[in-house]
Amino acid sequence: MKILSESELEYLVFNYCTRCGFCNTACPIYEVFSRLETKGPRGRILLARGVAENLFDINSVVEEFYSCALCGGCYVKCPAGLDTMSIVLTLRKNLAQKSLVPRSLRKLIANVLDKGNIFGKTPVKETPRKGTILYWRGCMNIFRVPELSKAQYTLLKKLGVNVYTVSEVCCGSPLILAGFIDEAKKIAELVANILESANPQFIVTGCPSCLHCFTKLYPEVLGIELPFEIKHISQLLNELLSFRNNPEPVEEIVYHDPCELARHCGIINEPREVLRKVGYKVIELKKRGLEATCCGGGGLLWGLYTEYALKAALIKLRNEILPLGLHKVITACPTCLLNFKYSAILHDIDIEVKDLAEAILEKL
Amino acid sequence: MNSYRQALSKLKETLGDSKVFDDPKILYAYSFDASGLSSGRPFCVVRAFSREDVVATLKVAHKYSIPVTVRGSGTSLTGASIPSENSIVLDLSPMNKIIEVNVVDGYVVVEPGVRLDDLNSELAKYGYFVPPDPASSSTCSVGGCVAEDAGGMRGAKYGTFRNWVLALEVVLPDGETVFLGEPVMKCRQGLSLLHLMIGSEGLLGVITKIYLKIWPLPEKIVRLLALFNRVEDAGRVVAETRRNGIIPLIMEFLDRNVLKFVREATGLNLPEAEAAIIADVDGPSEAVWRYAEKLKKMMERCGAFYVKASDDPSEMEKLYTARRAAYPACLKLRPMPAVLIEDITVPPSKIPEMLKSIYIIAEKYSVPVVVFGHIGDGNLHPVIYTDPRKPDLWSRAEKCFEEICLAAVRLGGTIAGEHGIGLVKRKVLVKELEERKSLKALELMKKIKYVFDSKGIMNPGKVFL
Repeated sequence: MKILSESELEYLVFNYCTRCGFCNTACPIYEVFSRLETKGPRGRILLARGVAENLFDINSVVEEFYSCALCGGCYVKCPAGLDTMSIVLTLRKNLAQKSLVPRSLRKLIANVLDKGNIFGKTPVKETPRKGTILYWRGCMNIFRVPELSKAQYTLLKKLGVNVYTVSEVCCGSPLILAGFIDEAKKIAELVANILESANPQFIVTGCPSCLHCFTKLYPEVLGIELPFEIKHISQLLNELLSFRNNPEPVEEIVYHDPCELARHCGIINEPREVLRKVGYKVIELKKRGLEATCCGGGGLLWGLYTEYALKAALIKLRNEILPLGLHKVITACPTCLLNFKYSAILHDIDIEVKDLAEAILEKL
Repeated sequence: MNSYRQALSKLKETLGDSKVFDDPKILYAYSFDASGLSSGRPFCVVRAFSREDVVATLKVAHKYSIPVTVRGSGTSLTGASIPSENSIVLDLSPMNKIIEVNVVDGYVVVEPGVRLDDLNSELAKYGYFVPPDPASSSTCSVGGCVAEDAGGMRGAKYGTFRNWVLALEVVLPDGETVFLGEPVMKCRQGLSLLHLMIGSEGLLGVITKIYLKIWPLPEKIVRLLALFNRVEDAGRVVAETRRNGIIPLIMEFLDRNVLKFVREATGLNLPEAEAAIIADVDGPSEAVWRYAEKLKKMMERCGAFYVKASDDPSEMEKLYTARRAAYPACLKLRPMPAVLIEDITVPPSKIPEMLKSIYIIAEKYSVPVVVFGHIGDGNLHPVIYTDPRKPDLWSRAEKCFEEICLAAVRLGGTIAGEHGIGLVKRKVLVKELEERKSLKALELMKKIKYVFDSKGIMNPGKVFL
């Protein structure tokens, strides 16, 4: 994902997209809107073109560009390999520069800039801990699902990892994905300083958004390379459990690939491997890995258009997960976790949703 | 304009604001399809969720004489779903339910907005499928497939959608509903209006329910890859198979450049050759290898320097991916921004000659042309690269397109195998009928259109010049 120059953007939307519509088949938001053209990737590309042609004002497309989950499913489906996400990101940047953003986003951005996290919570000052491997929790884990952060920390400790935590600030992912690039650079510099002071052997995180941000968005969008190895918790767990033989599976589960983990960072096998190592039988969805359907919570949708995110999660539950006849979904992203959980509760769906770390802890 | 305002207010009153849109950005997004063309801007978009919505829309359109362009997934390669100026786009994509799968009576009933791959995923649970498989099967709607009479790779064995539609529920331009055909294996209802409707490109009415014949999935498939040093040798394979009584499930042709594009786009390790054929033979497990060996020998007799047959799933998948990737790779690695894709079909015996003609014509007009296609049924898709920003190149590309069409007609073929006429092939349709001394047929078509649609509101400007 990157910010496109004006000429790059125009080339893609005028000349490169062939409007075949293959992208639309992967878009969770297009489904939420019963396949309304302007709510799918092909439509968004056309809207970017219409704005470039001055056929309608950019302020009329705010919702269309901020209601994209930036999941990248469309990019995988595009026969021409069109970088659809960069088109959306560039339009978001253009909108942000004109302050044409959803009202809820203003609050979110202010929270990150004022308090260092998207929720506007007063940051908890950590007492310095000793260790060699930095466990980076992420805002979602710290403030929304602290039990998850606790489970991940406990699991790593239990497996003998010498982890420690630091006082965190938001990684900057929400700012980048919202198109506030200059603001994101400032936060990224702050983060880089924190990491430098922590000076870990390597960093492990349980949040795919932070991982995606550090390893892809920083270099691709901000031009910042962090001088640390950063792993997702599933990668580390896979290394730690590699000596174990796969036991006879005792429980069947469905694994949901978080977009930022699977599609954006290419981490597909590791979560499955560790689940198998502790006795789960992973039942695969038809669309998985790079082709997995997004839960609808990405790209800030969970915060900006929660209703759409929840409906997208419901569609995935009903169309893909429930027909498998299983009642447990495991994922590896706090946003996916909450989106599925709340959607299931709202629609009275009998399904248990767990994070990878919780699921592993249960079996160890 | 007054009648438009009245029509819009009537549509909103009847259908509600959530189904009727006149927002300029939405109108713009509905002004395109996969043809690369855009003509006029519609005056509103109606999203139909049921037959009743279609009826209500057509009644208003009929009353106020407003043109209607029906749209499924907007994947037409010929501009059939591009609206004319100040028309109503009738979007059927929300009508996407699979209504009934009836294995015993051998049919499936669907709404028009169901995607073809979604339908076949459902049918696979019963061990059945609807065989025609256009390259856009992941996206295209079944309604669009019927309205365009779409085909695909399996055309040689199973034909196009025409061969699979048993019955249709159709809303006529004045809003009246008719049921054409019956969901039975034999049906003689006088003149077949059913078959008139298939491939009618939205000119006669709106298809709101489709009954399709279903077929058992092939029991066993063996896939072959054959490579040739001469394009014409590959072309001769089809006639050879016909002479020997073998009808492959698919037989696909890729020329040197398409092979190169596929290699680069997918990273697949495909050997270099002037031409390649990927073919599937299917049948009972006990017999299929015998057919495959027979086909292998035929390919070798025609001059293939390499033939490999396999039933290994990963090897088969690799070859299938290669073929599926042909058009996408032609797009991804295109040397110029625009492509004109042909859809010519010639008798299988004429394929070597047709292939030769394509390359000669491309050279004559100095435009890059690559070729792939469903060689098994004589249907080739030359892809002509061009650039709308360069008028001279664009004009040469158009002339090349037209001359390739005429070459196909002169070899006893047609300009349109499975993509329809739409906007793109109106001129060459006239040329084909002229060549056949059958311009009368065009007159009859127009009269038939008038019988169905005396006000001329259904998809005006398409098919006929």
